[in-house]
Amino acid sequence: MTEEKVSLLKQALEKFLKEIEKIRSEHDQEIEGILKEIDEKKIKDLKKDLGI
Amino acid sequence: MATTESSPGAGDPKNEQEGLEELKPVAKAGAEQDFEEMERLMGTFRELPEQEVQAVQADAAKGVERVREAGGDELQVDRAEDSGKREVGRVGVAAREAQATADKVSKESAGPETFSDEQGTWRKVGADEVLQPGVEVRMDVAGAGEGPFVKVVEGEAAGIVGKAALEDEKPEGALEVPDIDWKAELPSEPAKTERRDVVPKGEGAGAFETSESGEKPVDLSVGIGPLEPARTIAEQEAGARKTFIEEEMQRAEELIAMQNVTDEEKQRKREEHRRVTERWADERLKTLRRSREEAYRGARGGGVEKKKVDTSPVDKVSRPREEGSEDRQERKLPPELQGESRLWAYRIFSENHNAKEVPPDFQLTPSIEAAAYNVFARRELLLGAYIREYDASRKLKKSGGEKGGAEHGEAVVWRENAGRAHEEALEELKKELFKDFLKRKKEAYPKLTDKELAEEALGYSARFILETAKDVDEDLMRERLKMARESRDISFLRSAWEHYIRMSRGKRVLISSALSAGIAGGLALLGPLGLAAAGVAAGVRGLRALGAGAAAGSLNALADRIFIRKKYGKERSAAREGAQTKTLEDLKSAVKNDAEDWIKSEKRILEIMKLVDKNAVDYRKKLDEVAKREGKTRMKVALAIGVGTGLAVTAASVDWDAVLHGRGVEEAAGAGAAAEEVQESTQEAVGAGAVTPEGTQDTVGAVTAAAEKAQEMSGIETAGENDSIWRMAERQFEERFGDDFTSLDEARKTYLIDAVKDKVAANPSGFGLEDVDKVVPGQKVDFSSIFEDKSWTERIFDKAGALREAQLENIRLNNRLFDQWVESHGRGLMTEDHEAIARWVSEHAGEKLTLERIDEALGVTQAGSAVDAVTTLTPEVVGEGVTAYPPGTVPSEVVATVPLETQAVPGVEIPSDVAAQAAQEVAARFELASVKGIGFDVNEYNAIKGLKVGKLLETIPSEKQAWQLFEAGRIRLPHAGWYGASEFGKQIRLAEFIRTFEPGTSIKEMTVSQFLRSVHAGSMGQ
Repeated sequence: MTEEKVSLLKQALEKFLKEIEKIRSEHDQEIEGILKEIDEKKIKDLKKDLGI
Repeated sequence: MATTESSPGAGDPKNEQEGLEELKPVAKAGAEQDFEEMERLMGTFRELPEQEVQAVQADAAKGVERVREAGGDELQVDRAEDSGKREVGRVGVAAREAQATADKVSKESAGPETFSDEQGTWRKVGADEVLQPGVEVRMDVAGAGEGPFVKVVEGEAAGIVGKAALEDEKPEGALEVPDIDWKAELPSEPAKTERRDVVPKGEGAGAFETSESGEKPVDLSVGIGPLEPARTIAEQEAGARKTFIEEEMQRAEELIAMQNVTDEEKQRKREEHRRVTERWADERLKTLRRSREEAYRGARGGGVEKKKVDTSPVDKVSRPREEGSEDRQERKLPPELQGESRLWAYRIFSENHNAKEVPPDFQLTPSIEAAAYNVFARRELLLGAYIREYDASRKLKKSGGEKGGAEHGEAVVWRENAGRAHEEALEELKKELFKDFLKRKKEAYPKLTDKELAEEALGYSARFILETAKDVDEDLMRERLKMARESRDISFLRSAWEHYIRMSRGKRVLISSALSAGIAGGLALLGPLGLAAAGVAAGVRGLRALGAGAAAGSLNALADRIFIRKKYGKERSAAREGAQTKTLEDLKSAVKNDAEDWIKSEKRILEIMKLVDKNAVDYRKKLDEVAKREGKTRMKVALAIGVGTGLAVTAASVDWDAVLHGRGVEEAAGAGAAAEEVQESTQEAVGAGAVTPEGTQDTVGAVTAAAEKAQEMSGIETAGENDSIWRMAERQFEERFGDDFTSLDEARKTYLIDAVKDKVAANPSGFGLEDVDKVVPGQKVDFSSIFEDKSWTERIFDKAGALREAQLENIRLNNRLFDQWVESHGRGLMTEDHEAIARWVSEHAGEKLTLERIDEALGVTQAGSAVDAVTTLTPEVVGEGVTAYPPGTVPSEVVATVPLETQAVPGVEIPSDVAAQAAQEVAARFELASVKGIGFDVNEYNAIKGLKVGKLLETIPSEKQAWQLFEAGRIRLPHAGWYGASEFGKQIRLAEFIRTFEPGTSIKEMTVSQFLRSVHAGSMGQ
C-alpha cells in the first residue's frame, strides 16, 4: 500500500516537473522570439543606415 | 514493504514459521523505508510547488528585463510581460494539481490507522461514526494535535462529541468552534471497554500493524469494542433523505399527471421539483445536525438545555408557506421598523418621497396607521423576496440555466406569494382610507345626502386614493430597482473590476484613453464586460480625480435644471390630470346602476378600490414612460456637459450604476427601468453605425470584409481636372474601404496611398501611364491589380495600423513640410522629387527634414520665406487640446485631431501611442458620422469645423431668421468656394443639431470639430 502511494507520488512529482520544464521552455522561446525580432530590426536599421 | 510471497520453504509449517521470523526485520525495514520515502515525497510536495512558482516569477521578471535591455519597444515589453504572466499562471495551475494529488494520497494514507503510546494503542474514527455511551475518547482536531479526553454520554457521532467537548472547554468570549473535520481517537484495547475479538483479514493498516507489533492483523473496518459497526449517522441520514425525496416526488407526480401540459413540460416540472425537494432535504439535515450538537452539549451539562433529538431527520421539512396562512399573521417587524413604517406612510400621504422625518402634527387614525403598517411590513417582505429572486435569477443566468433552477423556482413562488400579500394589505389600506373619508365627510357635513356623499367619494377615490395607490406602487418600483441593483452590485462589480485588473496593461491603458475620448468612445471600444470594466475604471478614476460624487451630483443637478424639469414637469402634470379624469369616469361608469347604494356595500367598495388600483398602475406606467425619456435626455445632456468639463467629470457624471445594471433590470422594474434606456442610449452614442459596439478589434475583421468587397468593385478610376495618381488612389480607397479608410488619421492615409502610388510608380506602363506624375483629364487608370490583391491590402492596412506615434508624427510633419514647400515654391512635388527626398533622408539618417533640406535634396537653391515658417511648424497646444497649425498650413485631408496627452485630467493615466490612436479613431468616427448626417462635403466641413460653436449659434439664431439674413446677404460664415443656399442649409442643420444639446458656455467655447468629436450621430434629429 505504502509502496503504491510512493509510486503515485513519484509519478505526480515527475509529471509536475515535466510540466514546469515545458512551461519554462515555451516561455524562453517566446522571449527568445522577441529578442530575435529586436535584433532583426536593429540589423535592418543598421543596413538601412549603411545604405546596403 | 511487508510481504510473505517469496518466503523460503513455503508449505512446511516449521520452515514457514522460521522464514517468517527471518523476514520480520526485513519486512519492517522495507515498510519503514517506504514510509520514510512517502514522508519525504510528501515533504517535497509541500515545498517544491511553491519554490517553483517563486522561481518562475523570477524567471518571468528576468525575461521582461532582457527584452527591455535589448531595446524592445513598449509592445514587445508588453508581450514579454504577458508571456511571463502566462508562465506564472500555468505553473500555478500545475502546482495546485500536484498538491491536490499529494493531498489525495495523504488522505488515503490517513485511512483506518492505529498508533500506540504509553496509554495504549489507539485508532482513529471518522467524524460520522457513532460512539457508544461510556466510551472515553481522545479528540483530535483535524490532525492538528491532541485534544481533550472525553467520555461519551450518549450515543452520538464522533464529530458532534468532539465539537461539544471543545465548545464547553473554550475560553469565555472565544469564537464558536467551527465545523471542521473532527476525528476521535478511540482506545483500541483499553481495559475499560469491552473489546471483542476481531477477525484478522485483509491488508491495509492491519498489515502495517503486524510488522510493527508482531500482533495479528486487525480488520479495523469491523470495529473494536463499543464502536457501532455498520451504519453511521451519515448513512442513516442519507437513507432518510432518500425516502423523503421519493415520497415527495410521488406526491408531485400525482399533481403533475393532472396537468394538461406536454410531456416535455411535465418532465421539466418533475426535474424542477426534484431539485427543490433535494435542497429542502439538505437544508433540513443541516438544521438537524445543529440541533443534535446542541442536544449533546445539553446532555453533557455544557450549559445547553438538553433537547430530545429528532430521530426522523427529514420528514418534517419546512417548505415555502402559502401566504395567508396563520403563520403570516404572527410575523412582527422589529420595533425600529415601526418608526420606519410611519415615515413611509408620511412619505406616501404627503407625496414627499425624500422626507427624513415625520412632522409632529402628522396624525393618522389608529386603523389607517395599522393598515399602513401592514402594507409597509408586507412591502419589506416583498422586497426581501425580490432580492432573493434577483439573486437566484442571476445565478441561474450565470450558469447558463444549468444551476440554481430549483432555487429560482422557489424564489419566484415566495415572491408571488409576498406580492399577493402586499396587494391584500394595500386593499385594506385603501378601504380604511375610504371609510375614514366617509366618516369625516359625514361629521363635517351631516346634511349630505347619500347620493352627494357617493359622488364625493368617487371624486376622492379618483384623486387621493388613486394618487396614494400610485405612490405606493411607485415606491415599490423604486425600491425594487434599487434592490435589483444592490443585489447585483457585489458580484457584478467585483467581477467587472477583476476583469479589468486582469487585463493586460496595454488594454487597461486603451480603456483609460478611450474614456479620455469621451464616454461614448469608451463604450464603443468595449464589449459588455469591458463596458462594465470601463465603468468601474471610470468610477475609480473619477473618484480619484475629483471626488466623483460631488462632480457627478453637480452635473446631474445642472442637467436637471436646464433641461429635465421644465420639459418633463409638464408631461408629468398631464399624466396626472389624465389619470384622475379617466379614473373618475371609470368609477362613475362602474356605479351608474347602483348610484348611491354602492357606498353601503363592503363588496362594492372593494371592487371600486380594485378599479382605482388598476388605474393607479397604468398611471404609474405612464409616468415611467416619462421617466424613461428623462433618463435618455439626462444622459445626453450629461454627455454634452461632460465634454466641456473634461474626461473624469464626464466619466463620473454618467449614471454608471444604471449603465452597469442595465441588463436584467427590465425584469426588476418593468417599465420603470430607466437603466435599460440609459444603456440603450449609450449604445446609440457610438454613432449610427459608425462604430461597431464590439470595438476596435472588429476593425481588423471589417477591413478584411472590406478587402473582400473591394475585390468586387471597379478598379478603373477616371482622371478629372488637375487630378493625380495620389488623389485617384485615395478615391479608390474611399470607395472600396469606406469608413475603414476615411476614419483613419492623415498619416495612416498618407501611408496607404503612398504604398499604392509606389506600386504604380514602379511600373507606370502597367497602368497605362508614361509618367506617374502626369495624368490627363479623362484618362482611365486601372487599379484592379493592386486592390484585388487581398493579402497585399490587408498587409498594408495592418502595417498602417501598427505605425508608431513617432512614425505617424514624422509622416504628419513631412506632409506639412511638403505643403509648405509647395506653397513657397509655387510648384508641386513630383514622384522623382519624393524619391530624391527619400534618398536624402536615408543618406542623412538622424537628421531632421526641413524646407532647406528639401531644397538641398532637390538641388534647389532658393528656399524663400518658407524657411522661417519651419520654425513655427511644431504644433502648438492650445486650450483644450486643439492643435493649431500655422495659417495656411492645415492639410486639407486632416480631420482635426485632439491629442489626448493634452487633456490634463488629474489621476488619469497618460495613454500610450496605440491607445491614443485608438481613441482618436473613435472620436474621428463620431465626427464623421455627424458630418455625414448633416450632409457636408469635405471642403464644406473643413471650412466650418474650426469655427467656435458660440459664434455659429450667434450667427444662426433660428432657421427662419437665418434664411432672411442670408438672403439679405448679411451672413457670411466660413465656407468652401461659392457660398450657396445648399451649403448654408447644412450650416443651419449643424447649428440646430448643436442647439438640441442646450449648449452652455463650455460647449460654446469649443470648435465645431471638437464638439462633433464628443457627441454622437445617434442624437441627430432628436
